[in-house]
Amino acid sequence: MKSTDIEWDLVQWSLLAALLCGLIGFAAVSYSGGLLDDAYSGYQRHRNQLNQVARDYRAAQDDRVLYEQYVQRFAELQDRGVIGEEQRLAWVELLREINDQLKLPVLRYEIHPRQPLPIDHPQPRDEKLLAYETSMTLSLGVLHEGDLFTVEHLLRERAQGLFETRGCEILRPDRNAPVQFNPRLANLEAHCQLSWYTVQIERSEDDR
Amino acid sequence: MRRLLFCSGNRMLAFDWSGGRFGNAACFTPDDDGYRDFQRYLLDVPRRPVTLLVDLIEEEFHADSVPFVRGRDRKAVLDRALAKYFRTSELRTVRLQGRERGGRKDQQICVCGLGSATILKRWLAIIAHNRIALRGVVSLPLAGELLLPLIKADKQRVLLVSQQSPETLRQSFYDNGHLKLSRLAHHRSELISSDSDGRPRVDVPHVLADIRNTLLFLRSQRLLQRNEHVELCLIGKREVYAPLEAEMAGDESVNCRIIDSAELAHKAGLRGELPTAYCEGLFGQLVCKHRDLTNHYAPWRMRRHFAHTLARRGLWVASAAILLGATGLTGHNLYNASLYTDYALQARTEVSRYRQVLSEQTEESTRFNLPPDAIKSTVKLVSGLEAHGRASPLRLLGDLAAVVDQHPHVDIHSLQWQTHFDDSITPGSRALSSRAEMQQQAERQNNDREGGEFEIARVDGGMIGFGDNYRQSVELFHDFVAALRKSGRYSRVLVEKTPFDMDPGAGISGDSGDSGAIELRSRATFSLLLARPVVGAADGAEQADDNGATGNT
Repeated sequence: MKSTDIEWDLVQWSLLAALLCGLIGFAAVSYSGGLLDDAYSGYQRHRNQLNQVARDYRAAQDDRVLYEQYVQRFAELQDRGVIGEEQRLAWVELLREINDQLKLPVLRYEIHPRQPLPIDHPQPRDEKLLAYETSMTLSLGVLHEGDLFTVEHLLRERAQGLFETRGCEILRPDRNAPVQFNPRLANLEAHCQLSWYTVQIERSEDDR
Repeated sequence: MRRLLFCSGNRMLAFDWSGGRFGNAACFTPDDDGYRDFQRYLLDVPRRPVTLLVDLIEEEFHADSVPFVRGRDRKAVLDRALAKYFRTSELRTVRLQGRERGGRKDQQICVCGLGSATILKRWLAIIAHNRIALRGVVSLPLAGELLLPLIKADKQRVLLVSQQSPETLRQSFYDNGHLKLSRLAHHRSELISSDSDGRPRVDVPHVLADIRNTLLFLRSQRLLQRNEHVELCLIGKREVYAPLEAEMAGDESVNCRIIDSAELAHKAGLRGELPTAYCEGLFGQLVCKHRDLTNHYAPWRMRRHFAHTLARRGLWVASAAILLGATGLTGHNLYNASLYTDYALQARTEVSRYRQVLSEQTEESTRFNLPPDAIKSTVKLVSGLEAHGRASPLRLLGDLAAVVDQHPHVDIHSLQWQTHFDDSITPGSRALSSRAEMQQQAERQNNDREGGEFEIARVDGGMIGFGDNYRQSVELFHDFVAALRKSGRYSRVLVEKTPFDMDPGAGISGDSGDSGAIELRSRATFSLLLARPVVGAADGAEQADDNGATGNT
């Protein structure tokens, strides 16, 4: 059948109606499809947000558990002066205080410059943590060994910070001399190397 | 609702057919008045496609056979057969009727058509002029094939006789359900007349002569063999044709049956009465009922308005379907959109709720303004350092004093103490010269960590109160060393120097005079190396490892 055989007036209304219906249908479907797409996009966006915030929430729950587990100890360490700036003044004052209490014949100290934590020590994994060691040479002249015990006990009890006795040499200055009972004279000498540890936390912009 | 036109040559009947009933019958004669009335009728009644059923004397039927071929060849062969019998007529068709059983097994065909369309020409012109959709032109004898199953004669050779107008008698011969031949006998007078009692009676002699002539012709054409049995079915009113049955009873080669047209029409699905006393209603019923029977003769050109009608209907249906589909799809989209909007709203509410909870938690955990993992790392690091620094020389000194108390001949001069992961080193050797050396030692320490950290002490002392008895001094020293080992507080007790070193590798000299006492004391010195694990160091190491703290980091 050729196009010239078509008698358009016989089919014009139905053709027009079909075209019109097609247009209306297309417009309606397109419009509603657009609405559906928008709604679906919005739904996806909010669902992604929900998933993200749910992940954040779970992470926060884990953080909360961590936080609750360690915060008390952390606060305690901070109060003890282990975390934060080193407490040189407090150490010196403590030594003076101990000497005032024990009236030792000799109590000398030498505090060396602060150094990064030696490599033979536990190292922080978190790069935000900066661990330092401050060496202190403590020279004591004591009447008897008991004074050494007392000094160490007082240091451990009152010190603002964490220290380790790295090495110690205890000797009698004159092994042939008899024991002196004069409180101003020392029967034993002790030369100890102490390491004071401090941990500092480098705070990022977010943490501030 | 369908509209049927029946043309028998001397009249045109128009019927409306709906649900198996005929109605609104009209009759038109083939003259100017009739044509005018027919045109008026077509304009007055609702426009509807018409099917033209023809029962004309001009119809010719030629049984033939052609070579069995397929595709284009078949079309060419059939076109040639059509051209052979109906060179000028447009109203023609060819019917495939199976293949011959013997020989080349040729294709059996029946070429049918109108030798002259003059009678129909005017009617068709009126239909075309009024743009009435012509569904098709249907041949009555060909439509008769549909009757055969109803009279259970579709497997036999049947001569079907029917009368569609008063003066004509249609005789169609079917073989196994296929039309082979048909002829329309035209008489000068009506074949059915009333007797003296007013009852209709068939003109037996004329009809009988027609039938015998047809049978004779069939035999002459070898469509029937001599004395071959044939089923003669007379369709009409039973009481009218009853005398004919009696006349044919004597012919043994013919089995004559009279089939009542009304009963057959009901069997064909007609619910009402036949519209006329003749059989055109019966065939009309067949044509109207069988929707696939639309056309035999009409070429496409004559049916173009019907094509337009179909197109128009299709377009309307398509429009409705499009509207319906679009409405459904739009509704579906809008419904889903509203669902997604609701879901999004719920999700947004959930997000807000989560954020609120998170915000509250964050406020709680901002006391130190540090992330929890930093707090954990810090605590773990400090725990490791604490474990590392748990050792004290004073404990070892105390333990040593406890043993010395039981050995009054031992005098301790000095004690050098340090901690290390390697218990084989000597105190005082800890100062390392270079960073590389430190690194190597750290690696060694890491390897040694499985054994933990050790306190290592070097004890220098001397033996006193043994007079000049060397042997006793040495024995007392060995007692002292044994007591240290026995105490179980040391993992290693190593004698570096014994009093009066009797090592075969060392030199020895002496003074047995008075000045020998001082020398004796100076030679009675000893040196010991003590090593033991730091108490709690292993736990501390585990903690440090848990933190990931290593000497290499």
